Amino acid sequence: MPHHQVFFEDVNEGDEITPLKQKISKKDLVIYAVTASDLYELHYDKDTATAQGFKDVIVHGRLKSALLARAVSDWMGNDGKITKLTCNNRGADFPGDEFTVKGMVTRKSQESRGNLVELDVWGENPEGKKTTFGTAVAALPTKG
Amino acid sequence: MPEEIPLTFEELQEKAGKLEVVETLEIEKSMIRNFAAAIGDTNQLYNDEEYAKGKGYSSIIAPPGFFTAAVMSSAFTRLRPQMPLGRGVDAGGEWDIFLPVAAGDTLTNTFKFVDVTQEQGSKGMKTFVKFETTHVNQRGELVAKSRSQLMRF
Repeated sequence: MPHHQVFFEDVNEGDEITPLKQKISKKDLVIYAVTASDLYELHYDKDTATAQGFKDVIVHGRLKSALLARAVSDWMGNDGKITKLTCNNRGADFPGDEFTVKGMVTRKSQESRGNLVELDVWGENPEGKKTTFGTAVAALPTKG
Repeated sequence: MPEEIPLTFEELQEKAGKLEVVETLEIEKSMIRNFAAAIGDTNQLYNDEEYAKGKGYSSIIAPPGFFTAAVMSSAFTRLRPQMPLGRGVDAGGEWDIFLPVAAGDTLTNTFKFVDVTQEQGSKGMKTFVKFETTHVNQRGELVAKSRSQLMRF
């Protein structure tokens, strides 16, 4: 829970964000499925998952996109705002595994829309393989 | 129930730009809190009404990742009954977020099937089915929009 605040002046291109480590449980998948209205059985019924060649149910791609956004929010603090998010899943993740989100600032710009930072963000499985790729744009407050 | 027969590429081309579903969604506190719980997010903005009000919001707000949830922007889920697609996987998306969404807001979400394209992959022809969504609050303000695609193989 962020009680800190990152200001636009504090950030440099190439900076890495604080990694977010999140162990996703099957219970999380069920809560997510109902709340997000994503009831595809692949995410809570093992028979469906094994019939499709997976060892277990898989984490919703959109849940992982929410974790990419959370990593950026946790890093920047509550006075920063995410204005754009992209996400592309390239591999399955499984409940019980620790999913790690990392990110790096790729660009800083002052525009009419605000003081913006662009980031590459990605998710890794416990073996360190990148399964989830994304980008984010965040508007940060200034000290002035 | 008979197994659905997936639409052909030509049938999809015929429907592209013509299929749309509009839904009204009331944002409830429990929805936001459950969503935050599922992603392990204890941020007070999504959980503590007094804190969120202190930050200038009318109530707790939805985390940015909420915009990616199927209930908000999986046009595929919403349009599926009108366009059988067969086997496919999520092939990425992008979300523009313009304004916060707070508990108590009522959103009008529009889900559209906008385009279909084909390209030759190493294991055969791949079809990309493209969707767009918009999300407008009770004040008529555009709060977010999305573009996403599904790959059929």
